[in-house]
Amino acid sequence: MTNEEILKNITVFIHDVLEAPDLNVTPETSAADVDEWDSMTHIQLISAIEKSYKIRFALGELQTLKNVGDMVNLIQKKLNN
Amino acid sequence: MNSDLTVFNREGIKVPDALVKKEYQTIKQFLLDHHSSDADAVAIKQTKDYRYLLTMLACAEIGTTYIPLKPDYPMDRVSQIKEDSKFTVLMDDEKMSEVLAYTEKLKTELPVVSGAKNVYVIFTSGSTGRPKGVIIRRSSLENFLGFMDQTFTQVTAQDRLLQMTEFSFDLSVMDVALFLTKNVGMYFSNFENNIFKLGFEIDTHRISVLNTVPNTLNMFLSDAVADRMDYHCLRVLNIGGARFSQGLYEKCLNYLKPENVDIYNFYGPTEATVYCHYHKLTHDPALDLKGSTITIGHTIPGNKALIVADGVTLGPDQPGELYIGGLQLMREYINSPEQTKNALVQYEGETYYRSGDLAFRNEKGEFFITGRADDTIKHKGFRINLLDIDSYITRLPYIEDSVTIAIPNENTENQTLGFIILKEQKTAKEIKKDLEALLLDYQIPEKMFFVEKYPTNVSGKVCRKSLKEQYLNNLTTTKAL
Repeated sequence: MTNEEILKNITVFIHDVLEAPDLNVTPETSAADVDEWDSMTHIQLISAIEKSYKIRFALGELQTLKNVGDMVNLIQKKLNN
Repeated sequence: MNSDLTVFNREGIKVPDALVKKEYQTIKQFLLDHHSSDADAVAIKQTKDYRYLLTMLACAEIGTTYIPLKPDYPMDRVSQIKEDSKFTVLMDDEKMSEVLAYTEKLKTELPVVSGAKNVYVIFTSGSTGRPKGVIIRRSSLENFLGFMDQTFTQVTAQDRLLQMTEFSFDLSVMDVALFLTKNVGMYFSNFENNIFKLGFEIDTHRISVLNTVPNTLNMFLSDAVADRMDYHCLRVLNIGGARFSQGLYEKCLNYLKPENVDIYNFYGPTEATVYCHYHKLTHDPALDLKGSTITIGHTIPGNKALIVADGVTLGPDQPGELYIGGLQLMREYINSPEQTKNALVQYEGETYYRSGDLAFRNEKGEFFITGRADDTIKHKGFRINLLDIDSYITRLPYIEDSVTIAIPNENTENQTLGFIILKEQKTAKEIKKDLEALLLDYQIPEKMFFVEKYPTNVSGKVCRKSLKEQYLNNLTTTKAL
């Protein structure tokens, strides 16, 4: 799966969890840019991604995420492992 | 200041003792030389790290009132605060760089500081939008510090505390109190609303002491975080600043074992110097709760509390407004005689703060908060308390949390709206049917909305006002059911 495909997939989750279907999601998008993206929605988003890709993130991995691009890279790394 | 105190920088690296001591002496000397007259006040608006802490401690030592501000406060808010408080220096990051290069020594004698002097002014949001400055006396803070020292005998210099809240929020005084009285090592959190990062910080730094608000703890004890970490390093957990819900209590019982961690429920308005009541959870619901309300326990020594209704002090199990008096009572609201007059009342020959909280006490003298006086509304001719309704709604096992608000209308005086977070899929019809067994028909919210979160204010409390505004502006993303 390419990074572009992962970005496309998680964009759907982000739209759904944040209830912001028109949000333009790019690798640079971060929680700080989006009002709806707070602690609670972040938890829901991570859970949705883990469930969908059948992967598991560690706390150490999750604490480094700065933006959507980091998330895509982390998913890619997990899928390759 | 004791040179053994341990602080860590924002990267989690220990700041050498000698550097802490040197910077502290420099800050103190600068303030002593230039800002130590009775007319002086120091506003602090620095990045939240150990130097912010050192500035507050230096002010306290030389007897200059300090005013902690959030680093990102807009300048118009700072201007309003300056207008009210007449602070004489703004210690922001730029000023701090300048101060750290200070080498003069104009004064050598520390002023003699009496307990009657002001120690800090904390600005709360204020219902009118203009911040209200709560003036706290040194003797009030000393009473609170004495209580902390005597109560937390299990906390030692080996403990590590994660400083989470802004210093502009008085819950942070708890952190400072444990730092000063128990010499706990202090880390500064950068979790920035990423609850996984908070978990990582706690796990990595082996944090044993945490002072936080229920909303943050609620997320911290969510399954998504709990699945990734154990909570074994935590030894002391102090919760305050908002209602401790039954749902959170159950999470605590589930994830935090009494043999590992002591959990305290604190209560108090800023006007009573951080907290005036506390209860150490027993983990036995029969002792911690009455109905679905968790006790706030007894008053901290030096404080007084009465339950008053219609000018009469009430006995056990009778609900009324909580009046708070005693050593920790604020002096006044800065530059606001009218607001002070409304808040501080003379009752039975003493000054009390009208908390606006509805409460009762049991036969053992333990207090319970049941809601806000302004949470009680008239609806269809009946008086109902919105928090009381929420406490019943959250008894349904499939409901995570509930916030009921009222919108005035002509027909029923108020329309009641329930904003509900579900644990599992349910319809409004099913919920209403289940609620019929718990509530009278006029107490059941007329409309229900399913939400995934609530708007919160800067201190992490659910902001009912924002919820109301969202609804009225039709900005809510929820569906009416």
